[in-house]
Amino acid sequence: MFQLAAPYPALQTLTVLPSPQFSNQESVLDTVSRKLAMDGTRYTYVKSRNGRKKSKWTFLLSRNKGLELRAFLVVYFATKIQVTDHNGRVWVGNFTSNPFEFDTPNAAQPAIAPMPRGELQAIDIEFEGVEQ
Amino acid sequence: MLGRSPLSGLPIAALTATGGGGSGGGGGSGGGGSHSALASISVLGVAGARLGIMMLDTAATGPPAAVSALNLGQQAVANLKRLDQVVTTGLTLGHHAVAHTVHHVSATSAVSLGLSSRLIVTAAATTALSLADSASGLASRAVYTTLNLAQTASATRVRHGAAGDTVMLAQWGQVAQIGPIVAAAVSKLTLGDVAAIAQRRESLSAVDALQTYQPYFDNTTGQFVDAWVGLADSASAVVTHRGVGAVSRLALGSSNQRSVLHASAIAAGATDAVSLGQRANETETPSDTDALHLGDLAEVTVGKQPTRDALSLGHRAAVVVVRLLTATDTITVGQAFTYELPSDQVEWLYQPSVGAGAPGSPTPPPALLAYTPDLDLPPTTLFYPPVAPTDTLTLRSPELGNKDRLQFNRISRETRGGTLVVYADPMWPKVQVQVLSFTGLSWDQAQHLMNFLSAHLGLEIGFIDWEKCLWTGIVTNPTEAVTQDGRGAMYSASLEFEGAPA
Repeated sequence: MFQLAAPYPALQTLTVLPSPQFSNQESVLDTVSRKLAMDGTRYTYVKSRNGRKKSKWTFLLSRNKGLELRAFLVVYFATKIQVTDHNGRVWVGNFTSNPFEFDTPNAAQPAIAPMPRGELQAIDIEFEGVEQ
Repeated sequence: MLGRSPLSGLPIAALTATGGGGSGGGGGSGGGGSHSALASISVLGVAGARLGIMMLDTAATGPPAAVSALNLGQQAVANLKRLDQVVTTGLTLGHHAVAHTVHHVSATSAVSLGLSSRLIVTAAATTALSLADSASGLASRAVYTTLNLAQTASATRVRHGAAGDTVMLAQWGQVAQIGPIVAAAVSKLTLGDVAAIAQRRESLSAVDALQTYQPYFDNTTGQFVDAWVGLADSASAVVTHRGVGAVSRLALGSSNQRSVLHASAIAAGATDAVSLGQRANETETPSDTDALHLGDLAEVTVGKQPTRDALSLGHRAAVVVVRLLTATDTITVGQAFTYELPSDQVEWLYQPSVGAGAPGSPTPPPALLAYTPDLDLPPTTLFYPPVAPTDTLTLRSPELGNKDRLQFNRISRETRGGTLVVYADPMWPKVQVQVLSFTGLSWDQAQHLMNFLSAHLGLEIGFIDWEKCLWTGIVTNPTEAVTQDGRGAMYSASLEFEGAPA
C-alpha cells in the first residue's frame, strides 16, 4: 500500500495506491566534483542536497484509481506532499515528473463495473523528498 | 512645696501637708518639737488623674511617730522627713497611665542618735525607683538615692548620695544652715508585681535597717565589699499589689528583686539597646506579609543615674524580587484518526480521503468521481464546431496504449543548502493531452480523418472519447501519417488532442 497525502503539513487529501511495480528506484542527489592539482593532489567538492533523495515509482492502476491519482496530481502537482511508500517510510517532498503521463498498456482484469471500464493504467512518478 | 520629680522631671503641681506636724517639711523645721505627727500629703498629677496610693512606714527602727499617707497623681515624688526620734520613711510611687508604668519609690530614713535631745543626726536616704513601660514593650527602671534634708518646711536639700559621704550639721536647727551630709544609705528595694490598673490601691512597706557595715562598690574590682561605715541607714520598700482584676502588662516579679544600690555605685548610666529584626523574603506568593509579635519585655537596672533602656524594633516586610514572568508555549494540535483501508476497494476504486484542510489550501479533488458519461453519445467522435456541429467523424475506439498526458507549468529551484522549492501559480495553464492511436480504419475513415484535420486545423473541435466523455480542444499533430497496414480496413492513424473536459 502506497499513500500520498497533501498538502503538507496540513494534510487534507489522502490517496491510497497499490504498491508500485518492481524496478522502483531510489537515488541520492548529492554530487561530487573531482579536481586534480598539478602536483597530483586530488580535491573533491561535494554538493549535498540536505538529505533529499529521488525516487521513481511505476504504478499500475485501475481506471478509477487512475482518475483519482489524476485528480490528485492536478491539484497538488506543485505542492509539498507526504508520501508513505510501500515500505512504510515517510517522505516529504515534491513531484518532479513533468508531464505526468497515464499510459494504458493493458486491459484490466477483471473489468470494474460499471464505469469507467476496467482499463489498466500505468504511470511513472518521480519524486524528490527527504525521509522523515 | 513645689518641686520636680528627680526621675521623671514632671513638675509636681501641689504638695499639701496636713496633720499635727503640719507639712512634712514643717515638722522638720520644728527642730524636734514634734515627736509625733501624722502627715497627709497629696500630690496632684500633671495630667489631673488622681490616684489614691497609701504608703505606710512599717519598718522603722523606732516607734513610728508619724505616718504619712500620700495620694499620688500621675507622677509623684514625696520626701518624708523624720525629726528627733521619729523615723519616717517616705515612698513615692508614680503610676503612669496604662500604657506607661512608672514607679517612683522613695524611701527616706533618719536615724537619731540620742546622746542628747539636742544631738540629732539625721540621715536620709531616698531611693527612687522608676519603671517605665513603653508601648513597644520597653521598660526601664532607674533608682535614685537622694538625701533630703530640710531645716524648715520651706528648705529642702536634696543630694545624690554617694558612698562615704558624711553629713555634717554644723548648725543644727538653724534654718538654711546645711553642712555636709553623711548619707550611707543602702536601699534594698524589692518589688512585687508593680503593674496595676489606675484605680488600684497599693501599699508600700519600707524597711529601714541600721547597720554598721555596709557593702560598697569597689570600682577596681567591680565587687561589693563590706566596709565599716559607722551607722548606715537602709531602706527597703515593697510595693504590693492587691486586689483582683489587676492586669499586669509588665511582669517585673523576677527582675526587680534584690536590686542593691550602693551609694558609691558607678554614676554612669547604662544603655541597653536591643535590636530585633525580622525579615521575610523570597516568597513566591504575590504579597508578603510580615508579622512581628513581641512580648512584654522589661529590663530594670538599678543605678545612681537613670538608666535608659532603648528598644529598637525593626519591622520590615519586603519582597525581594517581584517578577512578572511570561511564559509562552505553543501547542500544535494535530488531528488524527484511525482507519482501515480495505485494499480491494481503496486500491482500485475512486476513494480519495478528503479532510477539512487548513485555510488557504488548494481546492482538494472531489471526493466522488465526477464522471458523467453521456451514454447517448457515439463513442470516439470528432466534430466541428463543438456546439451545433456541422462536421462529424466517428472512429472506432483507440487502441490500448493511449496516453493521458498532464503538462503543468511550475518552477523548481534548489536552494544553496540543497532544499528543493517548487512553485506554481494557480493561474498558470495546465495542458491535458490525449494521445490516441487507431487501427483497423477503413479507407473512408482514413480519408475523412485527414480531411477533417485539414479543414479544422487550428480550430477548437469537440471530441467524445471512448468513455463517452466530452472534450473540447485542438489537434496538435496534423502531420501524423495514416498508415496502411494491410489489405482492406487496415489503416491506422494517431491523434494528439489537447484540450479539457467540456
